[in-house]
This record gives sequence, structure tokens and C-alpha cells, in this order.
Amino acid sequence: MATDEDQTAERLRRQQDVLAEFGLHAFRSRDLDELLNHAAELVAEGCDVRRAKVLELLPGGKELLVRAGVNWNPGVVGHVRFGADGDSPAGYALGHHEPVISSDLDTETRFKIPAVLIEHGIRSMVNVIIAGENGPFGVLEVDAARKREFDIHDISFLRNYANLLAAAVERHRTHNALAEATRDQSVLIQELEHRVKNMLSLVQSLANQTIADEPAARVFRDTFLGRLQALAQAENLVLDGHAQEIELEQLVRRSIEPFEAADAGALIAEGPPLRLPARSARIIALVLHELGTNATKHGALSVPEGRVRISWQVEDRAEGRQVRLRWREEGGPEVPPPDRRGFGTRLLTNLAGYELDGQAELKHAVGGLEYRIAFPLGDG
Amino acid sequence: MTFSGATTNLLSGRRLLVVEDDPFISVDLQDLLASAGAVVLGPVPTVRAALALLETDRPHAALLDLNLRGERSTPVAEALQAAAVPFVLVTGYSASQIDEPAFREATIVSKPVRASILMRALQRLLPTAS
Repeated sequence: MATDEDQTAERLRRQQDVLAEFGLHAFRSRDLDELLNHAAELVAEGCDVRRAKVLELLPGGKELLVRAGVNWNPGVVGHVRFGADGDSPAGYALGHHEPVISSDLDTETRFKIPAVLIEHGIRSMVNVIIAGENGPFGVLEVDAARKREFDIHDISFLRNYANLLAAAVERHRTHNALAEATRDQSVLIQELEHRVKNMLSLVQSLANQTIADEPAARVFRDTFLGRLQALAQAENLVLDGHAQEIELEQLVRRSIEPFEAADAGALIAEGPPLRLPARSARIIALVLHELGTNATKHGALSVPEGRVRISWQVEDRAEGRQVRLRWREEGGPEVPPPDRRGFGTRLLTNLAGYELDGQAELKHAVGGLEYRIAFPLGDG
Repeated sequence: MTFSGATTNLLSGRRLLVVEDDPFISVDLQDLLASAGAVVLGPVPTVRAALALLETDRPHAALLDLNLRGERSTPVAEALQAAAVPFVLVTGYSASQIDEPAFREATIVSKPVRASILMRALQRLLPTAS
């Protein structure tokens, strides 16, 4: 026959196991209701009772709701509420940091016994506050249908258990608040992306709708729209990729696509994989657009035998990685040197250099233009 | 930006510093100011470059962008104030997003810039005697 000591040792071991199991579960669970129901099941097991429940202090602090529980009749969990004042057992426990023990409800005088406990034949109970960062979360309640004593081990167990539960609930709340903030932010970013696209479309429509009857005005409009579209395309690559970086090869392919003649292969692009910051991608899209437009009008892409080779390399240097991008036209017609003061030239040299912190060079070689730009990758 | 607001020589002989990271906007501002007779210092795209320039040169006034490649231009504003150089803050941010003490008294010209508004702001900042 088991002695009292054996039984106590057995109970302590069981309570240790329950704490360990709940500890493990609490930090894996994603769902608060599931967590609380599991908490009720385990605490009942640890105290060797049939019923337990978790009461949540509702916003406003006036009422406690039975949020989770084990072995209660239908209509209790999720429905029954108690006053949060000292009249109910749980309300009374809210005002106490230590577990509140009621060994015999028949002689209990500190609070009134709610009908639901009487209906379930509850005789003894313990209520423990579940603390929280900003006020208590609620109360953990252990209910026995027979009269029983709760000793120092039970109290210690319940105190530890309630603290563990409080930490788990707090973690849930923080996790959810963070998830919500992240969701809000991503909605905001999507909205912003949408507005950027809309704004660019609006500018495009305004330019299209602005009457341009004279040839000079049409040249202005078409040049402007070409540049705007090149910029919009780079912007879309950034926005659609939801990334702050763009693969250079993808950017180059998109940028030269409008200049591909029917006989594909006039433009050859080659270089190692390389991710560029969005900022750099925008200016490179404009540079490639400018070069492509010029080559189509006056350079290598204006004749069938003309070719354009676009290549890039990355060099590791003491001060960081350096990118070298080159546009080389071959087989183009004889053309006069480009206008040094034109906006296109300014964009290719000064502006690109300014934006990329780099050095750009435009040369008028035999067979067409040669353009080189070297700039730091700036990725530390 | 249109140049319609620029009256030739309105800024004649004025040395104006342009601190702006966007190459297109900086070149636009540069052209606008030059067409009004100003001498443009810079443009410079970073806080570091602006501070370096201010160590050796003292402009009559400055045009200052708020966000310079992800960095607030507050240190430049402070250096300008220390050197008693008036400046116009040229930015896409609204006044409610700017709370640094260095910008409390600043004239804000919002982007996209209208030449006439920028010119008026600069004229107010610069002493009339020239």
C-alpha cells in the first residue's frame, strides 16, 4: 500500500511534468484559445481535479468571461461571465497576488458562490490571478467536485503555473500586435506603390493629352514620354519585385527590349549576376533608354548590320565592389560627335555620375558610340 | 519645373549653394538659378559633401533638400545657421514631418518646385542691396 509520502512524491512528479509540458506547449502554440484550453486541461491534471477554467478580464475591467475550460457543460465556456468585483471567487482573486484557496464552499464567506459552480457541484476551489504587463489578464480557476484540501505543494504549483501562463499570454499578445503592425505596414506600402504607379500614369496622360501640333512640340513630347516610360519601367521592376534591389541583367533586358528590331540579336547583353540598389537601377534604366534611342535614330541600330554589345563586370577593390558597365556600338554609320550640351549627353555623363558616385565616359568611336560607366556598388 | 518664373538677373552675382541628391532636380535647380544670374556652388548630393564645401566657402544663401540619400540634412542646416547663411528647405516632406529645431524657422518650398515660388522665397531671404 502506498504511503502518504509516496503519494506526495507522485503528485509532485506529476505537477513537474505538467509544468514542463505546458512550458513547451505554451511557446509553440499560435492560437490563444487553444493555448488556454490546453492550460485548463493540464492544470486539472496537475491538481487531480476534473474541472478547471481560464477567465479573461474583459476590456473595461468590469467582467470576467470564461474564455477556456475543461469538462464544463455546454454554454459555459465562451458564455458565462462573472463580475470582476470582490463578489465572485475570480473577482476576489483579482485583488490578491497569492492563490486564493476555498477548501469548502459551504463555509465560504469572502465571496458569493456563482450558480454555475453550484450546478456543477463544485465543493472546493483555488483561484489564481494571471498577471499581465498592463494589468491582469484574468484568473485561473481549479474546481473540485469533492471537498479537498490544497497543500503547500499545490499552491506552489499553481503559482508557478499561473506565472508561466501569464508569460505565454503576454507573448501571444506581443506576437499578435507585431503581426498586426507588419500587416498594416505592408498595406501602407502597397498603397504607396499603387500611388506611385498612378502618378506616373497621370503624368504620362497629361503629356499625351497636351496638344502638340507642331513638329518641334511633338519631338519634345515623344522624347519626354520615352524617358518617362523608361523611368516607369524601372520603377515597376522595383515595385513588382517588392525588393529594394534589382538584378542588373533583368533591368538591361527590359530596358533594351523596345530597341530590339525584328531580327533579334542586334543587342547582346552579358555579365555576371549582380543585384543593384533600386536607386542605381533607375538611373541605369534612363541611361540605357538614352543610348538605345540614340542608336536607333543615328547609331548602330539604325542600320541592319549594326550591333550593340552591353557588358558589365564587378571588381573587388579595397574600398568596396566596383561595377563597370559598357555599351559598345559596332557597324554603325558615320555620324558626327554627339552634342556635348544636349540633355542626353548630360544625362549619360554628369547626371549618371552624380547619382552613382561614379565616372562616366562617352566616346565617339568608329562604328558607333562607346559609353562606359564605373561606380561603387555601395553595399559595404 | 518651368522657367517662366525666372526673371533674368534677379539673383545677379549671388552665390547660392545647392544641396540636392537627385541629379535631375539638382541640374534643374542649377539651370534655373543660373538663368536668374546666380553663381551656383555645388550641387552636392550628401551631408558630407555639403559640410566640406561650407568649410572653404560661404554662399549668400542655400537651397537644402531634407533627405539626402537616406540621411537628414539637419547637420547642414546647423552649419548654415552657425555661418549665418540663410536657406530655403526644398523638400517633398510636409511641414508636419519636419520637427528638428534647425528647421523651425526655415522657409519651405515644396517639391515639385515652381520656379516663381522658389524665386520669391530666395528674394525674401537675400538682402535687397546688391
